[in-house]
Amino acid sequence: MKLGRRPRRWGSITICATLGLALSACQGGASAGGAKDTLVINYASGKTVLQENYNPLVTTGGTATQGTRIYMFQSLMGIDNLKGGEFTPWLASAQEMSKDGRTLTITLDKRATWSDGKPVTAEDVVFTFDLVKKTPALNGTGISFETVEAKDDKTVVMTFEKAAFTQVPGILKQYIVPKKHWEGKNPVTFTNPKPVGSGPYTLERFNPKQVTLQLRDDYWRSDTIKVKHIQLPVVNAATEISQMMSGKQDVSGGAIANLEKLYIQKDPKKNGYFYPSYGFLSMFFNHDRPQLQNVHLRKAMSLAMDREQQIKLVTALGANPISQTGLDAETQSKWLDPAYKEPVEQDLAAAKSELKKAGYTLRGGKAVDAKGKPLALKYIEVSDFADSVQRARVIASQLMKIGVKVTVQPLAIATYNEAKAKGEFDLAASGYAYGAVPWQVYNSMLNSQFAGSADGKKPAQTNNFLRWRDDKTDRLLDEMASSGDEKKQIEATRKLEKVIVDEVPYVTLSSITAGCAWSNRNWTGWPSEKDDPYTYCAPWYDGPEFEEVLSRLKPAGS
Amino acid sequence: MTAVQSVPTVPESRTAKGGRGARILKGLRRALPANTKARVGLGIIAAYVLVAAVGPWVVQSLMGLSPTDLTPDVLQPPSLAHPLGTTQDGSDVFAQLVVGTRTSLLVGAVAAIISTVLSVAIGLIGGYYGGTVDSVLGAITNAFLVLPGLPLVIVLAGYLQGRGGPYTVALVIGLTGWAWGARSKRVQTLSLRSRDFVLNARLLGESNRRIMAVEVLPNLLPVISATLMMSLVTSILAVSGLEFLGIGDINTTSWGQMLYLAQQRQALMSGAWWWFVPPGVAITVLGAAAGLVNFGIDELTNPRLRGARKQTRRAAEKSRTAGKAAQS
Amino acid sequence: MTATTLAPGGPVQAAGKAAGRRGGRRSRILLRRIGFYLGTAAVAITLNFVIPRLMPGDPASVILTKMGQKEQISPATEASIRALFGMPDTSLWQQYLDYLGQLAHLDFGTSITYFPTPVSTVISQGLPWTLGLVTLTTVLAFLLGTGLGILAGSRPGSRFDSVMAPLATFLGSMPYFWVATMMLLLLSVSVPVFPSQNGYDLALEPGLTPEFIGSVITYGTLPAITIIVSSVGGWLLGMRNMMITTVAEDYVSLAEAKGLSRWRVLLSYAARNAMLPQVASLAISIGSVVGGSLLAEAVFQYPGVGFLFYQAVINLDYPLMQALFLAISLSVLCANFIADSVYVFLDPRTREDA
Repeated sequence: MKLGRRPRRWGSITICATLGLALSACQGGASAGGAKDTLVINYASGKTVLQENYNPLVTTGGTATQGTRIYMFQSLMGIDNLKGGEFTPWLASAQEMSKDGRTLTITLDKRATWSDGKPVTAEDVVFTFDLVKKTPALNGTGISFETVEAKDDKTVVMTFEKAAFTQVPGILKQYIVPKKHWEGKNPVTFTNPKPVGSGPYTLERFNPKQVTLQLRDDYWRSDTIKVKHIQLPVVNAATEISQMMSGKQDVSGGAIANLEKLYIQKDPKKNGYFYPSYGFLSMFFNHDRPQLQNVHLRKAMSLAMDREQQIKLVTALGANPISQTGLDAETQSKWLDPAYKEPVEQDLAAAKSELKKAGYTLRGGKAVDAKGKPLALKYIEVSDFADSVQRARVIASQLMKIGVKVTVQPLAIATYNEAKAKGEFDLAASGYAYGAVPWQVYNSMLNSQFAGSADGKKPAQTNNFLRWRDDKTDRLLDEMASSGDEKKQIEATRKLEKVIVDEVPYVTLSSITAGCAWSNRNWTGWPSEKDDPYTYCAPWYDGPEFEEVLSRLKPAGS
Repeated sequence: MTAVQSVPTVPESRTAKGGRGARILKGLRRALPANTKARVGLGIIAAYVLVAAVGPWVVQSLMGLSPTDLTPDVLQPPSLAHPLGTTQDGSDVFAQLVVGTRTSLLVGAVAAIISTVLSVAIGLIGGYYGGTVDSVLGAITNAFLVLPGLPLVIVLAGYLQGRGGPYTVALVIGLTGWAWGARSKRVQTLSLRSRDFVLNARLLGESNRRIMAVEVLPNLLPVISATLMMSLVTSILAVSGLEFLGIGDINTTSWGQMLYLAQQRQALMSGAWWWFVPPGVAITVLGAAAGLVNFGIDELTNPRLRGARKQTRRAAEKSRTAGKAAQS
Repeated sequence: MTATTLAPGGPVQAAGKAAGRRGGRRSRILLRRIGFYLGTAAVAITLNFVIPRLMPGDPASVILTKMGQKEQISPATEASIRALFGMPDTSLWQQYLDYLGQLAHLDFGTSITYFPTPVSTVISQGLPWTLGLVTLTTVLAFLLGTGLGILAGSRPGSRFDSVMAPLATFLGSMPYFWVATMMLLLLSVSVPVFPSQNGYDLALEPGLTPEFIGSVITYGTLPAITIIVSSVGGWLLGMRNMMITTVAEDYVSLAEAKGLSRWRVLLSYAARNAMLPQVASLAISIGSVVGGSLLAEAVFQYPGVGFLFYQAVINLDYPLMQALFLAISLSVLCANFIADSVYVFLDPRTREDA
């Protein structure tokens, strides 16, 4: 009997001791982090391990650059999609295109310096453009010019063989690197381990789980920026909201499911978001796959989709179904042919009849071709973008309704980018930002010069992972590019819209938003829909926007 | 006696004693229902098999629930319409759980059959022939026994990248998880080898192959069924673990996939316990059922464990090793 | 059927062998054991060589292509990758020799995920975390489980026992990753007591400072609890059953009859002998604890080899993946060997002979 009692006490003592140790330990550590001058950002790298690569010239391939370059480097200018594609100064303070569209003059900001203390000169800009021109892998927007020269220390003049109005946005969005540190380097593979840039921050520390940045003393705007340190950790989406509610993370560029219900409503005074539209989302086909070269099949898939349901189930805040062209009827109305204004509605009967025209019959709920082989497609997505994977699954389920079997394959981001470039997929989806003119986005998606080769030896580039090679499209893109006359541009754009509606190179799903969920526990001054929608606050948004946000943030309680 | 201690799975410890094997088996057959723990465990496993067999039909055809249909009823808590609520897609969790039971059990069964066949072959041949053959097979078996299984499975699954769906993973698990069973079967075969009926068959000039198949194998059946059950549970756990990590096929409905998606879609944050608790409980209860059966068999073979006064020196760490095996 | 005819030196039977054969010597057992583990290590090394060569496609080319996109590959890097993953033109035997040469130099190639860090560096950074976590939790779980097992087993059928035994069965059946998720929910999300990911506060500079050590403990608590919760049940049950069996032995009854205190009898007579199989099981179960902790690390993004392994697999980082497999296997073998040797020294049967 005695013995029967003792064990219990012994057991509980052990458990208490263990718990006690743990609890005291946790109190010791809880104070760390969240220092007053530090901003903690989820920049949604889509990675679980960061790589030490700060090459701002490489835009694809999933390097760490993609998210961190906006803090350390600058492009000449930004394009403000909230203001209909207006140019906003960044490294350059002004630009002017001659009337004939053949001479572009760029004036650099007089205050701009590199983080090693040297001034940014026109020579650096000339060096960068020469580099881009001779390195196709870096020339994502197809920049082509005749000459580029430094007129003086802060002025660059670029000349073109023919009118180059449409090239201006691409040129101005080009990130500039210091000649001194880049000469003789392979600009594609150089990882730039000790980044010297013109942006407000420099690298403080690297850890595969977190990049830490530090505000420069000598950046011209440093006096007005209160955020002295930026932490860019790899964030576990499963617990992100609790991190933000406890003030351990300040802003998220990730897609949080049920944001409204799980975050905003929990504490509407401290939690907020701003998700303005900036482009469109589409599912695209790999046009090198023989079965997908059939326009009727593509149309069938477009007609089978319930776009409202996709938005609802993926909980994409602020998104709406839009025109198949991808152009938003509100912000892009000037360019959009009114005939194509309405989004494609789900119509299963029409979808099935298109499927029949494509040569498929429904057998036991499965679409089979003339030989009796069921149609099966592979849809790739980035495994760490849970919302995108969710969308893929929703799409797969919707296409199953017309017997098209879609297999979703989530891949790590590097593998995904590789598969996309090499054409190892049937379906994928992507968001596209509107540029200054529709030509910008259409050219990057549909110009055959970016389509790579059908055998996969030459990878696809820029945004033409669709591998769309169409003479008519190329001709229309040329037409749009060569004219400085807006009326002619609109005319050509609308002709291309017809191609997109008739040929369905991709299926537009909805508008796409860029923004952030923020917490004002540590920092105030965030943009919001009703109070102050001043700019995009997505911490991955490429351009001067987030620097603007940073300059407006003030420590809470000050 | 000491050798018996080291044997991981259970029933052979009885038959390893030599001539008593068949008798104890008969006793087991009679005794099994008498042991509550084993009975409960077997009952639970039988219930799972039943659910896997007819559950999907009941849920989909009779109750009209679909595991994959998307509905606007997103993240609904349990209700009459959705007994276990809905997911972020508005799919029915109960339907997923039931359909997932079939997938998970099937995958587990494939793996279990492969590993059991391998373990029988290797254990039987090693135990029967003895000598060099046994030494070599025994060394390989022991090597596979101490090598960590999960990393090996993960490496192979990493190369396969979901090619071939969940059954490829099952194949891999089956090919790597046979060592426990091989060892127990070897011990049992050793004990049978010198028994009269085997010796008689030998004297009569029966071929070794025939003796193994006709005389020895039937006597191994109880051990085989125990191994089969244990490796079923082990394999289900392994497959679920892989799927949970995201190394599975996202297009199937299984327990591991449910947990993976629940975690990916922030079920934790939404407080949607009905989404991620049921699959975990399903796995745990199945594992516990196997543990109970083992426990029960232990009690049958070691009367002291069920409180009888009879003294037995039989080792009893089996239930724990078996439980551990289920973890890896 | 005596034990002497048993397995050719398995981790545990060898002890039985020694007992069966009167002339067994501890040193001989240990030598035999060393031989067995060296053999098993050879199996692991060979498996590591065979697997990439059995896989569809040409992993070596895949790796080189991936690396080529990041940086110019030096001939040295290419040679090491080829040696590790296959060189179609060379004979298999030559490949095997080259591969062994690579291993001898601890050259496992370059990681793709952590490019351009060599695999050996990546692993050496991750290994201490896992070793620390697994060793600590295994020892704690072992002590806790064995202790509770003694208590439960000393009075089978008592209230304590009738709660503990089923509870242990249930705990032991919970998958590690699920326990990890539940821990995350309970102690990191619902009641935010512990951090949800990483091994330490990333804002701190790693070093032997009180802050850093404190943060390591805080960040390690959830993974540790997970492993302990999932593995303690097995130890408890094993010890309980052993105790029940041992308590009924003659010598225990005799000691009781001599009037020694029950407590003393339990600990110095029954428990001590019941411990032996526990230690033997320790050797066998290390592999599965490591396997489980790999999953737990992935959930908590703990910077040990488990998380690295997960990274390597999802990023198709074959060099890292293969090297980790080898590192984990060899570590488990080492741990096995240690547990096994402890067993040999604890076992009175080998002691008598020595």
